[in-house]
Amino acid sequence: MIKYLALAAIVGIAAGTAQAASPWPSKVTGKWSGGANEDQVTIHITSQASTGNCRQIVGTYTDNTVGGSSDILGFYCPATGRIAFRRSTTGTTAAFQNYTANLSLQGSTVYMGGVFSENATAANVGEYAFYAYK
Amino acid sequence: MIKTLAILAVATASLAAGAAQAAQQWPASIVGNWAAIANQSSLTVSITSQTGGETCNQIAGTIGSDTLLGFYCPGSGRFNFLRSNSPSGTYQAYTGNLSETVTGNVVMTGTFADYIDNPQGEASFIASPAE
Repeated sequence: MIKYLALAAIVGIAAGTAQAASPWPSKVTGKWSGGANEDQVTIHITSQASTGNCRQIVGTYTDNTVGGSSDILGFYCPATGRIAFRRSTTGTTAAFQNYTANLSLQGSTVYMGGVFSENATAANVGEYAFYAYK
Repeated sequence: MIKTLAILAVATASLAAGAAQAAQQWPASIVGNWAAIANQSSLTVSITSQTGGETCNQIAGTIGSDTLLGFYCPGSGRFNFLRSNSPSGTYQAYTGNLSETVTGNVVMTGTFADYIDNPQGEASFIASPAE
């Protein structure tokens, strides 16, 4: 009986370890649908660097509510699920918003939840909720 | 009875003191020079303006030899600013909170994210008013 309990404990620990070791996807490239404050958005991450603890990501950000596209540049850390990126007008590098979030998984859906800061428009500066999924 | 009233009076005074302390936790303005450490670098953060906005005010200035643009919220102590230069554009984003370690001793602590330098990721940031 003691032998079976010990075996069950080892299997349980091993299963828990395996689950905890890879709760986040290795890549975040692709199209994400979501919301940022009052607007519906689409985030298209077109590339992700292949090395480093945190890997540079590049893509575009479309505001489907008011229209218009922007560039994004940031990083994703596969070991922690952390993601952050700046948002700048297409073709420019000076950002007007900054996004920070963490990934989580539910079934086959990957969620991105966090906040974004508005830095450029004086009347609206501050932090707002942000989420996306794919 | 007198003992009970005395205990209530002490409790009320404690609550009032706590409330007063909480209400003055964050400064109204963070304009000025701050001595900062961002990961392994010592920097001077100069906030030259704090204007506009409703709940939060826009801040502008310099960090090291780069520009900063962001906001500070006097009601919560929250701050956030983007660090930019040429030709990189915006390459770091700082966010965190102000707090008062002891009366009159304000510190700014949080993290910054680096999007261009290696290694990319987040690291700690702390600043205190420059002497």
